[in-house]
Order: sequence, then C-alpha cells, then structure tokens
Amino acid sequence: MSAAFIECLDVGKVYDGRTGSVEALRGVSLACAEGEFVCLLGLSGCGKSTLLQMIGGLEAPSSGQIVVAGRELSGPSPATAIVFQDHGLFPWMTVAQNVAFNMKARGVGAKERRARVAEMLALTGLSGFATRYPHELSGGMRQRVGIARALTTKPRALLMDEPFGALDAQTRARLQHELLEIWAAQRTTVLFVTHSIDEAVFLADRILVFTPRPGQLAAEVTVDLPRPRTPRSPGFAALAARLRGLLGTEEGSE
Amino acid sequence: MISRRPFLAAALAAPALVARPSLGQTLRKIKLGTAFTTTTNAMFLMPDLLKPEGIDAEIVTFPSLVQRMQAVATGAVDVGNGGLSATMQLATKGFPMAVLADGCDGGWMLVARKGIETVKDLAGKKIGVQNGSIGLVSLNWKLRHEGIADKVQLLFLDNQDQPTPLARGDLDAICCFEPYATFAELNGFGHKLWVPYDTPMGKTNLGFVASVPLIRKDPDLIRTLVKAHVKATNTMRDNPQIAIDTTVKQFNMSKEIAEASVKNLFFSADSGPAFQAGLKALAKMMIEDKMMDTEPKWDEFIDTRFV
Amino acid sequence: MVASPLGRLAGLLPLIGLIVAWQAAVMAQIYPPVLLPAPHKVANAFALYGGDILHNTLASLSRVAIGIGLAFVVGVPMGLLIGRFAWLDRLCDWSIQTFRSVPPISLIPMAMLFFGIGDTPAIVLIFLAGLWPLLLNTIFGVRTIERTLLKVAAAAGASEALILRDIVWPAALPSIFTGLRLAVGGGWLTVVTAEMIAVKSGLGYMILNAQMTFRPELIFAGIVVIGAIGLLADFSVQRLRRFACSWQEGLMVQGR
Repeated sequence: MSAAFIECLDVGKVYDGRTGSVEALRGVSLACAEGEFVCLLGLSGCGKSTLLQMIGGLEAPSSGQIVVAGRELSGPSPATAIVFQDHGLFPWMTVAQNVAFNMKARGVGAKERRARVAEMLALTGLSGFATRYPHELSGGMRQRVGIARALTTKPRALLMDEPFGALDAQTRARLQHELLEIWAAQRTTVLFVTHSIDEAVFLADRILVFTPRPGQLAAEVTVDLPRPRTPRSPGFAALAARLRGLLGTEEGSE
Repeated sequence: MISRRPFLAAALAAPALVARPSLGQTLRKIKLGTAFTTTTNAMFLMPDLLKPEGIDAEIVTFPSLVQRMQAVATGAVDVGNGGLSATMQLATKGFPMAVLADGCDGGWMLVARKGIETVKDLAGKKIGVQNGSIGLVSLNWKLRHEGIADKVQLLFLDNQDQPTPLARGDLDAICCFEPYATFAELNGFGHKLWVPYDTPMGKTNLGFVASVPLIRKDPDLIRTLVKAHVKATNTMRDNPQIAIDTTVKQFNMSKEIAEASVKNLFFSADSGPAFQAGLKALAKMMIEDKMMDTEPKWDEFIDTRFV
Repeated sequence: MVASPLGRLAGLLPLIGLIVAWQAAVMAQIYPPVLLPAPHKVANAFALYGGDILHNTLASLSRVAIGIGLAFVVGVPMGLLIGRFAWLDRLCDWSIQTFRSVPPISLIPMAMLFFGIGDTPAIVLIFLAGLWPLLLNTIFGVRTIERTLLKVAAAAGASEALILRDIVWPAALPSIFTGLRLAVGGGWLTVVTAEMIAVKSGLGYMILNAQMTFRPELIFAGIVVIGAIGLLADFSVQRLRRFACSWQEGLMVQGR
C-alpha cells in the first residue's frame, strides 16, 4: 500500500457572507493513495466542490491542513491539475493553444509543448481538431480538451469537478469509458466529484460520501467490483442502494 | 403676432417671437440682440426707456458676432446692436438689412507683447482676432499698408478668448474689443501697439440695425426703438460713470480696467454724413479683403429717417 | 448580419426623404436662401471647393486619429489594470465618474490655458471625449470575464503577466471594441467644438468660417462630410471587430 499522496487533516471552511457566516465544510479527514480513483459523492451543498478546489490550491482552508505529495499546500501545486464542469476553454484560442496553456503557464518550452500537445490530443481522440476553436466543438469534445489540457503537465493527481455533469447521457457514458482508459494508461490519482451514484459506482475504487449542512465526510465505501462495470453487474445494484441510503435519497442516479 | 416676412415662418430654428398686440395687454415683448463687449453697453439702458412706451424689452446676448446677425436675420431677435461689417455682409448676401443709427464708435485696439514696438515688428508673428469683425477689417488694411499682410499669421478667436493666449505667448498680439483689450493691457499681458482709427473707415464699428421687412411692417415700433436707442446712447456718452458701472457689473471687470476701457469707447448716435462716409469706406475695405463681393444698396441699407 | 445587400440599402431611405423635404422647403421659400441653401448649391460647393474640403477633412481626420489613438493607448491599459485589481478600482472610481461627466465644450478655456491654441488643445479635447468610453468599457470587459477561465489560469500557476496577455486582453477585446466604437463616434462629434480653438484647418474650422462669411452651402457641405465620415468610421470599427473577435462571432451564431 503506497503512502498517502493526498491528505486532508481536519479540514474546515467557513465563508463570511452578508447575512452571517456559512460553514461549508467541517472536520474533513481523508487520505488518497497514489494511483487511486476516488469519488467524492454527495448532493448539492455538501461542500465537495469546495474541498476539491482547496486541494487544487485555489482556496485555502479556514482550519486544518491539506498535504499533497508530502508538502502542505500554499497555492496550486504542480502535482495536481483541475478539470472544471464548464470546461473553462479559452474561446479565442485553438484547441492546440488551449491544451498548451497549462504548460505555458508552468514555463515549458515551445518545442516540448508542441510534442506534448500532439500526444495528449492523440490520447483523447482529438488529433484532427488541433486548429479548431472551442465554439466549433460539441460539449463532449470540449470536455476532452479540458482533460487533455489537464494531463499535459504530467500531474500526479487529476482533480475533476463534476466534469460530465453538463453532458447528455450518451456522451457522458462514452466519456466515462474514455476516462477509465486514460486512467489505466496514465495511472494518475483521480479525485472525481459527482452527485450521481451510478457514475461513482462505475468509476471509483473508493467512494467518499458527503452530507450537507455543514459539509462533512459521512462515510467511506470501497468498491471491489471488477472492471469493466455495468449497472447490471452483480453487486452494482446493491452498492448503489447502500449509497442511496447513506445519502438519504429515494432516487438512484440523478 | 409679428409676421416676419412674406414667406411661411416654420420657425423651427428661431424661437418664436412673442408680441401681443393690444388685447387689453399694454406690454409688448421684443428681443434685443447684443454682443458681449462693452461697445454695446447702451443696450442695457434700453429696457427702462422702453417700458413707459409699453414695450417689454428682453436683452439677448450673443458672444459670437455671426450668431447675433443671424438671429436678427431669422427673426429670433427683433433688432440688434450689430457690428456693421457683419450687417453689411448679410445685406449683400440676399438678406436685406438696414442700419438705423450709429451706436458706438471705436472700442477696439491692437495689444502686443513686449518686444514688439511697431506694427512692422509683427512680421512673422501670430495675431489673434475675431473672424468677420470690424477689427479684422481694420487689421487687414493696416497689415497691407505696412506691407506685411502675407508675413503674418492670423488666428481666429472670440474676444473673450484672446487675453489668455496673449499672456501665455501663444499669440504675439491681439486685435481685441473692449473691455478685453484693456483687460489684457492692464494685466500686463501686452501693451497698446496701435490705435486702429487711422484707416479709411475710422472708428466705424457698431450700429443699431434691423431687417428691412420688419422696418416696412412696423415703422412705429422701429421709431420708438430708435428713439430709445438714441436716448440710451447719448446718456452713455454724456455719463461715462454709467458705462463704467455697467462694465463692472455686467463684465465683472475691476474699476480700474473699466475706467480705462471706457476711454476707448465713443458712444454716438450721430448718423450724419461722417457716419455714412465711414460706412462706405468700410464697404470698400471689405470688398478689397474679399469679405464681400458687392456694395450694399445704399438707399436701402442706410435708413436713418427715424433718428 | 444576415440582411441582404438590398435590405441594407433600406438604410438610405430616411436620408433620401430628408433631402426631398429639404428641396421642398427651399422651393417653398420657407427660409431665406442666404441661410438655407438649396441641395444642388451644396452639391455645387463640392465641385467648386473640392480641394479645400478634402484638405480640411484630412486635417480633422488626423486630429481625431491622434486624439483617439492616444485615448486608446492610455485608456485600455488603464482599464485592464483597474478591472483586474480591485484596490486600483477603489482608488480611481470616484475620479473617473467625476471627470467623465464634464462636457468637452466647457473645457475650452482651460484647454487654452494649459495647452495654448491650435492643434494641441484640440487634440486634448478629442482625447478626453474618447478616453471615457474606452476606459469604462475596458473595465467592464475585464470584470465580466468568465470566472472559470481565471480559475484555470490560477490553478495552472500562471503569472500575472501571462494572465493579462493571454486571458484578460483577448477576453476584454469585444468590450474594448464597443468602447472604441463609442470613442470614435464621440471624438468625431467633438471635432467641431475642438476646432474652435484657433486652428487653421479642419471641417470644424471650415464650418465656423463659413458661418462668419455667410457661406451656408459650405456649412452644409461640411455637415454632409462629417455625417458621411461618421458613418464610415463606425462601419470600419465594426469590420475590425468582426475580424479581431471572429471567435466571438462564431459563438453568437451557434447560440441561435
């Protein structure tokens, strides 16, 4: 068992608003090993996105510590990369330029950027679209670009904030498959935020269940099912039902 | 309602003339146009003179020479104290105007910065002057006379805008009307270089003018106005203190400047042969300057029968 | 943008109607001809004084080009920084709101005091007319950048310089063009006012001079040229925007 790559030690987050302060997260402690696929599962308002963004270094915790690759975070770490739900592609840049951006920000040279961009485009099946603009792409393709961009800096952990939430069911299913393939090839750690139980069971090695008000880690569920998984796999339904109970909902996936 | 002229008065551009004939109302409203220089000071006395005659006179001030003339031409004001050069131009360009009386003679001068001792020294220099004004006509004549007309740069500014560039050195001299000319002189921006009355037109400057159609339409009104004008002008001439007070009050000048400035103003309603000769000389000078193409029809243009 | 060329020409109809009404007014002798010239006299003026009119047009154009150019070079970088840094915005906001409300014509005496007479104060007035739209629209463009884009940049550890160059500037460009359109319009509008400060050339100068010498056909010719160039300038800015922000146009088309 490899040592914890990402650790949260009693992390809390409080926002001061006009009508008083809001406690988004309270006392979250978790650990992820390198190469693990972990899902943060919960309904809206349970702070899972907030937690992800803090791990990504975009915000600081109000209390507690976040440790990535052995070092306490004081800003975005080069060891992590984020994929956002609204893809965050720059409309005025081509696909290739978008994919190259993170590297450019980290100071990677032009020649190496070109090579890596080509590699990532091939990996995500976008090789023919290097000179297109985001507005020419479908929703699913845009997310692939986002993933490609995140992978260019060779992050050891991929942080994904409900990346497939805005897509239709078919595209989502396809991208889930592709993500697993990429993950199998790259073996990065993946932290994946979702509110869909089915999605979590399909993708994750481990599922961290969050409940709201205040956001807290309620339970941890290991998923032993062999891959590839489908909703008809044995054990899938039972696990989904168990998660439903933990979340406190009647419905399954949303 | 005074109907201005034979054609329809759509009157979109000109504010409507408000005059109520005897409908039980004793006061008749008219508008008098004037400039923003002290040469038209006599105008300020008019309202009080006209009230007993049953006329409520409103004074409308136009800093721009041309706007004043245009206002009289379009009927926005009934009569005006007008620069005679502009009046003549209007008359020769198809809008019949008439000079009813003299108003003020003189009232301008050439003020130059230190180091310029004679008019000839202005060669290669910049002079500020109001476009279209009497000042410009006299200046052009003088420059030609001194042989430096093509060696001088004329820059057009309204009178009140001239002192500042003179002070800054952006202009070397200004051909400016009172009280701004004296204002510049006494503030040390420059010194009196030329008293401009040695040209053929002499001191001809300002007159009491109106459009010919109005004169034809309502000679009684005109007679009353001219009478009041003559009275006002003579009062100004005989009582310099009034002119000084007006300058101080209306133009916010200091007493010292007002007193000196008034010495350069020669209020006169004397519309006799000397005045008329001055007008004819002015016309010749303007044609020479190419400001005008032909002389006005003198028998229509000079109408001093009401004086 | 899908109107047919013929449809676009419909824009000329009101103008043609105006000329017809003008001719009718002249024929009915509503206004004295020394003040309102007939349309053909104005057309004649172009033939007779074409060279002068062209010379004056170029003079005004160059003043506006310099003035608006300066407004761009000053206003856009300032706007990018003010939009980006909240503390800078707090510092500048009240000053901006105060000064932008002052109409250029009221600044003529001060312009003459500080800058003299001639081209310099004229350009300064045009500069001021164009500065505020550019500044304010740039600030707006920066403020309305999609937050996710800035998060992407922050997460990637991008430097402030890279963010300004690769993200803030292109993102704000459509708004900057809106500002440019307003600035060009405003600056051109101010040129007649600005040329009251003792210049020796220009359309404003020509018009004022024509007033002095009672040449109304030149006044109207000047007005016609000013209007035509205003239209042309606006058109040019639109074209430029479509070129520089083609990625945005695409988005808008897709949105239908």
